Amino acid sequence: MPITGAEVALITAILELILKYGVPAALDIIKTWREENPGEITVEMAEALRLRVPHPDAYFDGAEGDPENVPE
Amino acid sequence: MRRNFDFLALVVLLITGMIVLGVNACASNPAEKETFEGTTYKVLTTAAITYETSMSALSDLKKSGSLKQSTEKKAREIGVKFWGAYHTAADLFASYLKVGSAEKKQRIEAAIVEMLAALSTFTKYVAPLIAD
Repeated sequence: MPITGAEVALITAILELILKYGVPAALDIIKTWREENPGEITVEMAEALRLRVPHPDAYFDGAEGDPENVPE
Repeated sequence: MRRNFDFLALVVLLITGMIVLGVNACASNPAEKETFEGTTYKVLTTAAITYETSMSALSDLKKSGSLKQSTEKKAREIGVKFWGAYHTAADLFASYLKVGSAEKKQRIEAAIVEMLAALSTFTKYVAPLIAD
């Protein structure tokens, strides 16, 4: 059965999603857990964790990753 | 586009599975068990990565006009729950690192359990919602 243009577009879109979201996230998580001893965890490291999770509004209202958008 | 959403849902579920595997792997490793700070840091980092990935994907879908308004509203609602639970755990962890105590440690453990439950709810809700 020949592959249609729509199917090629779908496969392309799926590969894009894998490369854009799946692979980097999976690699980040694997890297995080493979590190046997991340060293001394400092207060600064903990503070930096807060900035990694901005309010959901930041993602939808065009201010993604805004470090100001975290609770006080 | 429907199939793209289904695939995205699959990606979200796979990441959730990886978190569970990662947490279990850590718990079964005696060396890691000894480092409460290290494990807490890794769990929080993993949760942050999952959240970032899911929200970035949803954000891109919105930019491309493929995200329903109702889906976005629901994603915001459940995202806020995780966001609150995450920051509670992260704040307690930062406080523990400044001045540690057994009581704070217990509170962090409880906050982490709550955060993981919120993350699970987040990923479970996001997956079927984006597949609509």
